[in-house]
Amino acid sequence: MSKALMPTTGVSLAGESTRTWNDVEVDPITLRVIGGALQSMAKEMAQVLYRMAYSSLIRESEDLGAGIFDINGRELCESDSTPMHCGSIPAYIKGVNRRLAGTYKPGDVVLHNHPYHGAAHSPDYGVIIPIFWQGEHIGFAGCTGHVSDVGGNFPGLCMDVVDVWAEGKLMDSMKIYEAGVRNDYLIQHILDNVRTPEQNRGDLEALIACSRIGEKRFTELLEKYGLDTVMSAGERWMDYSESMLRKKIREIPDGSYTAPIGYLDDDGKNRGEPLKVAVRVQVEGEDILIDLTGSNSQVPTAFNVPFEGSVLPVAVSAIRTILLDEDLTEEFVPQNDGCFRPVKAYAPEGTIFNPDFPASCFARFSQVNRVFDSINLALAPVLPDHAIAGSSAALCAIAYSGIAPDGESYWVYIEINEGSYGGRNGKDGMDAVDALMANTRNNPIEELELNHAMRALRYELRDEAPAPGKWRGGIGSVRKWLMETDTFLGSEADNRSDPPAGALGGHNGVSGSFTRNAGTDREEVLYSKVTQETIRSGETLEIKLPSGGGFGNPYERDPFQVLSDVWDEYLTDDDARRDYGVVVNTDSWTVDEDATAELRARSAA
Amino acid sequence: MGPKTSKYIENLAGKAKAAQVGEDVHLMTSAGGLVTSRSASEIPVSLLTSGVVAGLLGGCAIGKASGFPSVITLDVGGTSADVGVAPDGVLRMKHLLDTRIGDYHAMVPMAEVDTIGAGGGSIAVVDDGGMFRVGPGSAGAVPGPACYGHGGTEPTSTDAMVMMGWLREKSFLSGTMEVKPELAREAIQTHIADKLDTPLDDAAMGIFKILAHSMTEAISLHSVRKGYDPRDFSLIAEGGAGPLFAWQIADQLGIPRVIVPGHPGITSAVGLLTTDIRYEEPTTVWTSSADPNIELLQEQIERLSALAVAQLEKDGVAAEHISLERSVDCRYVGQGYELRVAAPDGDVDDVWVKTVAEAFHDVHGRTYSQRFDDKPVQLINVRVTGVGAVPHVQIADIAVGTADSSGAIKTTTQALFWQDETSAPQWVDTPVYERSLLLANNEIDGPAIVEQFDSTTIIGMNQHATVDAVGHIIIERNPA
Repeated sequence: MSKALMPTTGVSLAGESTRTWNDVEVDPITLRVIGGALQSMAKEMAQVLYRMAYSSLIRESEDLGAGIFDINGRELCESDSTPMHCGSIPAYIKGVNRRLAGTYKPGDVVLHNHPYHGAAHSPDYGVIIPIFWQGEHIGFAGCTGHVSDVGGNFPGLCMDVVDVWAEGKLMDSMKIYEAGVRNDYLIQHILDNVRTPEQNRGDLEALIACSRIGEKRFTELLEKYGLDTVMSAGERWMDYSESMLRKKIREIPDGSYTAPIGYLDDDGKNRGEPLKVAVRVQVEGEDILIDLTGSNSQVPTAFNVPFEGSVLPVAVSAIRTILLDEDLTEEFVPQNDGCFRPVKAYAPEGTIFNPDFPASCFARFSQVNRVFDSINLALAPVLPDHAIAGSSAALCAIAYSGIAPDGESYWVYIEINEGSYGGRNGKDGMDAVDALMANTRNNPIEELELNHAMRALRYELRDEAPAPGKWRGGIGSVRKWLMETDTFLGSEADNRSDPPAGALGGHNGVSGSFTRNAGTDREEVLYSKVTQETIRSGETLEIKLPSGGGFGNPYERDPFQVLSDVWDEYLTDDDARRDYGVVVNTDSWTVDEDATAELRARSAA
Repeated sequence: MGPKTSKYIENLAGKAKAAQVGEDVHLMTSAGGLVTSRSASEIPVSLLTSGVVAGLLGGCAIGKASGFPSVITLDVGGTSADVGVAPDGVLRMKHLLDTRIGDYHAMVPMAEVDTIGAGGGSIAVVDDGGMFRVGPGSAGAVPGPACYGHGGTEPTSTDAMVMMGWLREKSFLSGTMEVKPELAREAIQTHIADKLDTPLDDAAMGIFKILAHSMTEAISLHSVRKGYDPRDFSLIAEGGAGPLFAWQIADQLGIPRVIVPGHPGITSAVGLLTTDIRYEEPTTVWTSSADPNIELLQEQIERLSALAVAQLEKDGVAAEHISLERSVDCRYVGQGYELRVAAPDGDVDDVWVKTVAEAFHDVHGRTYSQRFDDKPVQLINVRVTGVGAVPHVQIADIAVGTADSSGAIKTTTQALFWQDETSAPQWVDTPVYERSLLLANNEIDGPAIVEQFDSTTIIGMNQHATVDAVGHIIIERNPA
């Protein structure tokens, strides 16, 4: 497959604006009302999806996206769920359009997951429904969700696979409904080739229901206001989001900002060979380029990233999150095509961020999350109030699987383990939450124990002290699971060799680890990326997630806050003295003010 | 919070007892039942959001008194609006995972009510991107709307309604508080009309319509989008500002009628007096309709029933006043999110399980527009609620008159109204009615304004109203 080389000035997710309607004036009230309606329909779509879904990734972790798009895939609205999904659907639509444009009929439902044609990665099924108005195709309702298994070499997740066909079954723009007629044979074929057919069937129904509700709501809006008014209002809202984002970009001084080079542990096969992540943020007027030149060459495993479906969404998401932080901005700026316009990304062909077909790119999250982290670190010196120190910028996904008691079917359980955030100017990093792009919820222990042959022995904050800083890093989580049956293990994680970076004088964070049978004589540390490891019945797995980096000089931290961390047993009095220059009187458990002042003065000198 | 609340309740109950006010203080829970002071101070978390739930219950009682049991309640105050939906006057409960207060999971039974940042104090702005927004920012009571003259300069929805002539200078709290329309006018001119380059009248109408629309969205999210048809409901206008908005919202959603209770400002208090003592006892059973554990279900329901009865007996409720309600949280095997259905009385058998499963298919179909009748249903939790009946408040009839309502007109004023959603606003001579002079059977043609101490009611163009036997104003759209 040949492709045109990407310009080094980068490309964006913004769609082409070929109009199929008449641009009309929309009065401010109607504009506001249509804007509200678009937002709430995207929200409703997401709710339907996660409540109906079977995959725990969709329903517990909210690993999904949903929205309404014009015929070119320009985004009119999208649910604010997992940032990684925000903005990936336009690329799905581009991929689908390349095969199906001109052939859509009312009642079509299209299933797509091809990572070289817009999919975020192959387990993220996309369901796209064309919307018709008065006999004419005028847009799409679409959604994506992470299903449990896509029938690749390994159950659930994969790392050490040879190419894109080995990672899972590919579906490229397939009409599972044509003109309202369901293609049962095709659906049967799809489900016959995955390990979790019942779950995938339920998820597929949920994805279809989600897009259908979007189609319905959007059509209702058209019935009320007419195509011209609705689409013209959509245009205004896209322009609005664009102008709000551009205004914020103008506030950043022009320049080229480079993050410290980050290193990913390895590619899951060639152990001990770290992979380079180079991120440069170029700010010019009201435009931003995320330049990944200098990042590692593509790897022979699944540890590559689809450019369109994953690199571009992360670039947009990082900039939008940093600049339009809802806590700092008064106005809510809706997610739509306008947010894509000022942000471009570039990655040279043949690198992990823009691999050549047919390299596998199943496991892409840790790399893109590191890009997000690096964008933060690059901008920290010029945006100290917006950027944060390094977070647990990977994804710690573990796929547990095995043969079900009936001896014929598989059980697959994918769990996302949560790390923590880096410190930020004015606040400590958040403890035990998933960071940056991975805005996923944790799965309750009860859910785990009820559904799987696993038991929770431990689930809490890590014992190790958090990374010192004026605002300390967040504390990662630790889990210890006991397997009650022989279990296969696949993982996609990172942050072993290169822990979260401190910012502006804060210390680096703490690395993560996977340990089999921790605390016994059979203790064994596993790599961050494993393929088909086995944990026998009765054995345990301890999972530690990284603690985020500190922000600012720890010697400037309020001594009372240090004391408070000692009270909470996050720190010992020795930690307080050594890392923060705070002397704690261990009789009264108060700060020894004089000794602290003296110690801090001495070290400042 | 917990210990403080417990202490407060104990003090309150102690003082009430000392003052010989009734037998005990009862409190409303977030599930819409009453508990005794003892139980409330043991589990103070159960009281969260109870005021809002009381508003919904009050709305149910008002709907019932007017003969319309299916209600949507809209309680609008200064900073927020509460929205509740009760088909057939029955509260719907939230899934436990949705019982959030801010970012915290409360994990206690809570009735489904939603609160949005839209009220009389909601501030209108034209933001830096040129977008016209109203709320969720609020001017609160201080400085309050610009027209209060307490230093507020930003226009609020109250200012818009003062400017439109709906709220008259001397109509606030029966004239005990005077407002300054010129300040409202100035605020809207400077902050909205000038910035949007639009006529002042349109700007004022816009503030109202945008805010009304955010309430419409909230109601829609809880009705249409949960599978309920608003045409089967009545909209109960509650709170000081509810009756100002309800006429427009009913029109937008196709709700056939608005019911304005006699005293909209105290609907929550009415709600407190219309419910019973309720204790909900849940347990997890985890069994499937394909292979139900009948014995387990029977045993657990008996155990929970005994627990609920014991709680009520502890509160001194006599046996003849005790009844039990059952429900089951269900999902399809493999799903992770349950829906609650009512369960039949009597012994558990295959028919019982089938009835529950059938009810679940229905609810799933209504909620997500899909049902899978061939899939087994998982019964996750069973709940038994013990209900201890206590005397309820009665909404009394008012004096009877004829269709002629002219006796209640106190004046006529110039007010801004519009024919329908797309038409321009116009100033019209509008009669102003005194609520206390209205009699049963009175009829009012819109546009009209009805004033009373705690509220003002608007009846739009193309609408008319009748006063029913209990004094509720029923607003309906004129037939086309």
